Amino acid sequence: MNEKNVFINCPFDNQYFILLKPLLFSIIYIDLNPQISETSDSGEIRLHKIKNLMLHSKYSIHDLSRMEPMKNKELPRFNMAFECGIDFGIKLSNPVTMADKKFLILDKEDFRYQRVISDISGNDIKSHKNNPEQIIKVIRDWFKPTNPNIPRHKEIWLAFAEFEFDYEKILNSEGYDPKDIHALTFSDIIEMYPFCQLHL
Amino acid sequence: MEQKTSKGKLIQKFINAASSNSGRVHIVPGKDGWSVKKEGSTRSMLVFASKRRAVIAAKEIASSEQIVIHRLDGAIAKRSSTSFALVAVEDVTLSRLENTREKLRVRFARSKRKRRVETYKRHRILKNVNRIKSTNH
Repeated sequence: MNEKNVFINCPFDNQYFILLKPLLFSIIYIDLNPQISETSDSGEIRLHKIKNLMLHSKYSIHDLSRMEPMKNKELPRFNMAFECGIDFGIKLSNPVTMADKKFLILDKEDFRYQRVISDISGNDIKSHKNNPEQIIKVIRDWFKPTNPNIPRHKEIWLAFAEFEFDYEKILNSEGYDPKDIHALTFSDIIEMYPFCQLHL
Repeated sequence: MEQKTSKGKLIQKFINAASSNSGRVHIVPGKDGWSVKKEGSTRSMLVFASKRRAVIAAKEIASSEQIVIHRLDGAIAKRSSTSFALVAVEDVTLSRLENTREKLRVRFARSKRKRRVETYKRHRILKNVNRIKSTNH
């Protein structure tokens, strides 16, 4: 289990991209390694990949804010809750090796989880209110006890804004759409994100 | 192969952008207001309650070559040279002011018309009452 790895379980769509970017940024800014699975893999390989990422990550962040139908009369999205369950299963079935594994559950409203997934009560459950600044604050505050030198959330937020300027400018100049989550693969984005630390 | 080359180029561009501090000033909305931040610094120089005041302050910063105004999600709302940014924001403020004046004017005209109609009705009623009184006499 890598002490610096943070597994991220969240939706991969353009609506969530405005939250995913500050989420990834804040994790890299505080010197940790975000671990996300590519969505394009085939079913079985993807599940194995997710399991390996969970096994090798000390921290896990599960965002359940989108476990709802995207349109009326559609079924809700189960992927995030399913992967969250797998991660809890890994921890519970390895009580010795995974004793230090920590979970952060994110949602868009306070206490909404109690209506649909009350079994996770007792864990760290925070609300980001669909606000990019708030998600940075929640992540930063959760990691604060593990690192006393962690910067203030305002500093990360301001650095993120500066990074966004470069991100949009560079992607536009290369013919990519900076608002399209599929314009680049996630590994590409993560490879690029460490350079945000040069803003320091 | 082509994608890899493109990725390498992108990473190089990011390194160059991140390691160079230009004279840009960023105006970033947040929980405590609109922060004015020089590119490359970790703290905001000033915080204002309104965007307009933040833009004016950013213009006053001697080294500001470009003002970048951000949206609530951190994305870019507007980027411009200092003089243009100020004019643009003032234009918006002025047009809002004009709209408010126009609305007030319309509302006042409506209330004036309403008052006139009410006075007219009152007069007609009084006239009718007087006529009835005189016929009774």
